[in-house]
Amino acid sequence: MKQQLKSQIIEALNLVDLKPEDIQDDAPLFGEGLGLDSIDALELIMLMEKNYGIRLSNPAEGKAIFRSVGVMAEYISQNHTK
Amino acid sequence: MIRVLTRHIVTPLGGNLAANWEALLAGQSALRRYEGNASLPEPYVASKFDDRTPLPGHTLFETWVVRALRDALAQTAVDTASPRTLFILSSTKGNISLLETDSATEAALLPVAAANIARSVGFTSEPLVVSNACISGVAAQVIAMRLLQAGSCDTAVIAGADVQDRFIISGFQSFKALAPEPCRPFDAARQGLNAGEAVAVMVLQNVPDNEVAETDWVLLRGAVRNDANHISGPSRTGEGSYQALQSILEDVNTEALAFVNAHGTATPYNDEMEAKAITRAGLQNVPVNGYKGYYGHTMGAAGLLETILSQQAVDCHTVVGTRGFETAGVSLPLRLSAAHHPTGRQAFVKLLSGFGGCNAAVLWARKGAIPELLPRGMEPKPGLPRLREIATFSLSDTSLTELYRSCVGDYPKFYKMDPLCRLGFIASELLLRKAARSGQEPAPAVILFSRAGSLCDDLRYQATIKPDSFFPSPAIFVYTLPNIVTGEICIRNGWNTESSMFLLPRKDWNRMLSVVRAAMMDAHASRVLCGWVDAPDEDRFEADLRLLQKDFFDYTDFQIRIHNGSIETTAQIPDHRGSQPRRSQA
Repeated sequence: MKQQLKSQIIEALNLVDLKPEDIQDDAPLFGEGLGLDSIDALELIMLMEKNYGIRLSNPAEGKAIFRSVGVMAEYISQNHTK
Repeated sequence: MIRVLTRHIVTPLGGNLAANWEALLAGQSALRRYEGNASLPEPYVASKFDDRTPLPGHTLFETWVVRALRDALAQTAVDTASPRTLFILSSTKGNISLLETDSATEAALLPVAAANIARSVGFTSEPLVVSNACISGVAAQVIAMRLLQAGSCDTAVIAGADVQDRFIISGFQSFKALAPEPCRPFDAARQGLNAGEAVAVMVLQNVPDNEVAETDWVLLRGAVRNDANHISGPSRTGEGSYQALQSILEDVNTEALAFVNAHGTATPYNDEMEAKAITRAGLQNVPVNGYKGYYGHTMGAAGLLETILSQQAVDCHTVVGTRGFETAGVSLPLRLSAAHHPTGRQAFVKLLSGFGGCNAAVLWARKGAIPELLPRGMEPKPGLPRLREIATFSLSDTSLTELYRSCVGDYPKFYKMDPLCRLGFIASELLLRKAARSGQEPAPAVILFSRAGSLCDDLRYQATIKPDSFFPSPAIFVYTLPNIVTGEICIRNGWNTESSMFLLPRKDWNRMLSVVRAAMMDAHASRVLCGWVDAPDEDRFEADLRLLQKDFFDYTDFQIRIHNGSIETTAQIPDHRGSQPRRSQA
């Protein structure tokens, strides 16, 4: 699941020079981690909706969920609808 | 003086300025809730026209603009057929809904729409399209003012409009930027913007001072500046908006200003950014208002609509209240009010900001108010500068990714860009490398031209909003604004300079240089990175850029050369009149 999620993140955010194994499970995605920005956060919201049927109506919720791949995978496993 | 000859607005609140003014005074809003729409699953609040029947041979977008232009010009003696009459179209997405049918990509291009409109209204000169995201309507005023001052035309007819349908609404929904209620500019509880539809027309002429009446509206100054911060988020310090304000406020007696009409989109970030820019510019004691609570964000029309309403408000001695505002929700105190207030002042500032990090400001006054507004007098009419070529670079149909890897390599954001931005980014990097810089040169303005604009990315975005697979992508949507490429270049280089995007039917250096030279009348711009960037599809594209500098020597115009294909540089030394360019092959 984490492996698959990493591939999906790399594809959705065009992180061309990264491989799934370059992303640590607990490394921060934003800020110092992968250097993602606000548009990436919105794109991750769409990724969850498209691939896992999870709708976040309040984008502010994303901040906690997108802390790391590990946290995101945990949230998806508890909330996915597809 | 640059004077308003006539003005006209059509909105869901009324078919002309008088009807709109009556509705505004009564506090009416055109914002309504739309839901149960198969092509847009989420409900939204917007201001939309009920009549959606196009004229024969025209799209809905073209129909609105053609009708408004005919109505506006009917009251005037403007000779539309004169080659000295310039039609400027301000729009973000024009005929974009045509992309819903596969075969209509050509007709969806803004230069094509502009030509169709021009033909029906009777303009014979080639139209100029300003597509500078949400600042387009003010950017169009600025370029019209300069082209008139430069003598490039006698009359500038500016029209602004956008149709709010699936493409734009879904994009702003994906950005979580739309409010679920009528928007509340500058309020503590604001949740975002509402989309709006309107058409606005303004006709400007350059008239000898003694022919301008005391009550005529005069466009005194205008500026466009980039945040050099982010392609969608505004600067946290209001940098670009502040710099644009600073440019138009030099020696201005701010006590003569009736109000600052802000962008006031009611997104949390925009309004906070504007509060900072307005305060930094020393306007904290001037009333501030915004009209988005009446009309929503009318995109390509916004700058014209809100300027015309501001003129009307001053004519009627009124500061219009900010509908939707109750409790201040920005970190600095501004003079905001939900209620209308009387004013005796006869000048105002209009602000706009947009995606791509662009910001615009204009200073308007009735002629009679100019002595009080500018106690030290008006600056002398700016001269049209001569330009000297520092470097050129052209590029076509090669692998941009390979070029990026071999020549740049340290900017992973490159991979996020759409083809137009990749092209402009790489070409600008290599152009600057050719220019052999010392690092001390002033930052250049970035003024680019295109035909296809963001078409590649428009098609990619359209594919994410299919009825059977509706997952609008914010990362793709942001690049559907053609001016993002100018923002990417400013961000990469940290340039808080003017950034502008114009769309033309073909690459024409004479045309481009007339716009660039007029833009360089802005004293702030001593250099410009300009030229053609066009990427109709991912494998077929052309960039032809120049780095130019104002030439302070008496010097004849340089020869225009067309470059094809590979890398080529040209250096030209302004040592004596008529010197020939010295050319070196890379």
